[in-house]
Amino acid sequence: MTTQVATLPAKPREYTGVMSWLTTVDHKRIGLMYAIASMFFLLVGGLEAEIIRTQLAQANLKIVNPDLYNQIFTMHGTTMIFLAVMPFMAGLGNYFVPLLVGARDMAYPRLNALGLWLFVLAGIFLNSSFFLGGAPAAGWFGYAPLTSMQYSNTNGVDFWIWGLELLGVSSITASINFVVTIIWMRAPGLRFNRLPIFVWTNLTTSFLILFAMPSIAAALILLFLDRHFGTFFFDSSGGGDPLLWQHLFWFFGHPEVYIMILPAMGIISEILPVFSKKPLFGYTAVAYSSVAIGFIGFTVWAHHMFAVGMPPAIDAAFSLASMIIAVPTAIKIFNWIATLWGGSINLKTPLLFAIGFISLFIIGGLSGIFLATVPIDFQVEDTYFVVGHLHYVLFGGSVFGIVAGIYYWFPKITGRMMNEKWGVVHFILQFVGMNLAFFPMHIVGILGMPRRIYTYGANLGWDTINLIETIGAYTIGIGILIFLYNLIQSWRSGAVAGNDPWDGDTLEWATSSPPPAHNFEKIPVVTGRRPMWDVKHGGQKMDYAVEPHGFHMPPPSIWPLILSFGLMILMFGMIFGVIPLVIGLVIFVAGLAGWINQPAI
Amino acid sequence: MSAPASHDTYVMEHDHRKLGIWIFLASEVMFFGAVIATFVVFRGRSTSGPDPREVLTLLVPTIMTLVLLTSSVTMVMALQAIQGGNRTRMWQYLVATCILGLVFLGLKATEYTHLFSDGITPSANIFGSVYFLTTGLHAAHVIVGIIWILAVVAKALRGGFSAENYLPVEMAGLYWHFVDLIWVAIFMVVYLTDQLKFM
Amino acid sequence: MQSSTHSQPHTNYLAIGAALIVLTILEVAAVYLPVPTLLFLLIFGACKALLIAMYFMHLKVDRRLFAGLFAIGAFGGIAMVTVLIIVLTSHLQ
Repeated sequence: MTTQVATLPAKPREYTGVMSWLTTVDHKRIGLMYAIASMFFLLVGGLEAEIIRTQLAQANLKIVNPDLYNQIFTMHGTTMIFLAVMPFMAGLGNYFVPLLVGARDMAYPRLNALGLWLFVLAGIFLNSSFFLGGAPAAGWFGYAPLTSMQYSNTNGVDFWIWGLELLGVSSITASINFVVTIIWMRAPGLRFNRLPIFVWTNLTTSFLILFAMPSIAAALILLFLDRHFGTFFFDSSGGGDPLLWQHLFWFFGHPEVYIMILPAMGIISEILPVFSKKPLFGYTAVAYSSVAIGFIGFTVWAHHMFAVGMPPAIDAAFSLASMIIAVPTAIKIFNWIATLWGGSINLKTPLLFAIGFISLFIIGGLSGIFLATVPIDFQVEDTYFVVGHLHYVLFGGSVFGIVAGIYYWFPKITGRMMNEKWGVVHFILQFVGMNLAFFPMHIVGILGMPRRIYTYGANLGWDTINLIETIGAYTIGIGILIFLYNLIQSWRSGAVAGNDPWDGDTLEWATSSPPPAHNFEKIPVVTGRRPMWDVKHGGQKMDYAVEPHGFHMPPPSIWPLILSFGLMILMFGMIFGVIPLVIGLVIFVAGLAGWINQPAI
Repeated sequence: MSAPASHDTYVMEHDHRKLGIWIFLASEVMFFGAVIATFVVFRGRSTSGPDPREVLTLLVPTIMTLVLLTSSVTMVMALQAIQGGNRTRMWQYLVATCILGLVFLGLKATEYTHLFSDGITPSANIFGSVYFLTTGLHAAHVIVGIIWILAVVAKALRGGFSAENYLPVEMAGLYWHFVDLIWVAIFMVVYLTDQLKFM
Repeated sequence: MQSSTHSQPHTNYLAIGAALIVLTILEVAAVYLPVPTLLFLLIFGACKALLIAMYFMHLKVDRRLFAGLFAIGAFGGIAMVTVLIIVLTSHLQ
């Protein structure tokens, strides 16, 4: 935002009620909506998980039919990754990055709203497939030729293609916003080496999204052309190559998992210092390691493809890179542990989940080293060993991180405290359930149980293990329900939180809970890594910046929602034909025209 | 390198939109990277259908390159015009850019027609698939660029820009030059490196 | 809304345009003359790209941040193309 003269501009249109939420460009409201929508999709994905686990609890069950089962596990993966974890990170980032850098909003407020609505509508679009001919059923990574028209002749894969394209646009716009905000909207004195680690990880994640998503965007276009226009990109009968899909997909897919874990690592890096009452140990190492993980993450993608027949030299190169990435990861873990060591530990729920994160992520990282070792990978590739690994890092890692962040920042967002006792119960259920559900997967994977199977024979000896895993999954489910209950109850009638219930270090605790629309009455001048700590316990006086031209908050806008809606209808048109295509295009153009004609802040 | 102009004042001295455009363009480079890689990887791997060397020639693509390069010249002349305060000259140059863009697309259309009549279609063989993918995606970007520039022209005609206020013109220009850059790469990879006949 | 690019008052855009046209003709010549074609194409192509980026897109006078960002993208794109070519053609001999 550029500065404005001190006289007020013409009064912008004001909305109330639901309309105020649909037209908001306030990063906090947008962040909150991201989080609530993600929570909804987490529950959808969780329900899908429970169905999967019920079907697999014993041999030869027929809880759902095989075709529906394929749709469910495909949508479980797709939903959890694209509709739950990623948007949750975007939401928390949206809410807190401007506060943490001392800004009043993100750099592009309307583009911010666009990202939100594209996500929400894409989620609806994707899930509508269940009712419109069948959800995608080719696995969350959609390998060719399974996704070809020959083997997937419902609309499901087409829903997957266009849903993901919409989500890609959403992520890319959000990333542009984060990068510009972090680079150009920091408070005075907030040098890069004083940035909160959560901001560092958001910056790195944004670059990952910007450079990785285009690969899958291209691949999805190729897939659509193969399916509907007779092209041969993944079809060897005309000279194409199914492996091209795998390479383009995983070139995106591997950075994608770092996109999901880095913000969680950032959250943990914020929580540990506050609840140990010590600065983060090895701040510089942690910051650089985050960037290193991002960078190296682009060089390892073919470790998802060791068994496809690449020459050993190439397998070895990717194996080496995959092991190297363990180094910056381990650096972060040691620094986290060192942060706790000798600290004055305040064992509240955010810290419980943070410690849970560290322990579970270590286990997931270790099984990752196993998988990076080519001969071992040959044995366990596409078995439940991999499913165990990925759930340790994605559930034990990303989801524990997200939950920790919610418990930590709930008071700031709502002005109320969550119930600590229910928090501990939730933690115990989620931690125990997680290990019950996912640890045995390593064993049953080594015993030979493949991924994505609908059922298994009774003579294989996998029954007991699967039953334990299912009990674990249900335990997690109960934990999540308790979490939901806690969230709703606390929001309604939790204890009042005040500005700074945790004795926090960083700038978000300098303002009220929840913050006013303009975030800070006056922008603080930052002189260290823990500005609030220095003021409260370090005898420092908080200095404030002069804003010679005052400030002016961006007015609300309906156009991002309309534009997104038009794009969604357009995507229906890509599947169902000319009429929705044209209607969608008209609405899209109308939204674009309205947006352009609205004064730029 | 942080935002404030001086130590303790908080003033946004630069307009963010240009940084946003550059970030977007960096991302688009990766998109075309995937597309161009796809083209290169499948060179010579068609199992049937006409050989491109029998059908493609270099003359029309060369003219197309010259046309697009000229359109970049007119685009930057438009920016120079408005930076000097000359709104009329600016939109005239912008319109020239659009016309050159349309000429480019027209030449592409003739090329496509010629290819179809010689049996090269997206579903003929892998060469057809990658050829139409690469040039088609580029053409789509050109179309978006022309619409973008026309929107800028429309605003100019309503009295929109001045020597102090021309960022949207610059942003449209950055996108247009980027599309030209990608064509430089495509011209090289698709046409020049395949030992085609000139006409 | 200020932009921080000053115009390049001494830049002769027409001269740059002419140079680009000449380079294009040289590229086409390199295909037919008995020279190491790929090498010349890469050199001429890079020159064209740099001229467009530095002068038309003003990277020469603008903030280094923009050039840096674009360079990361360019480097990433070239690296991606190179590695994809290697891994997808490695089985062909």
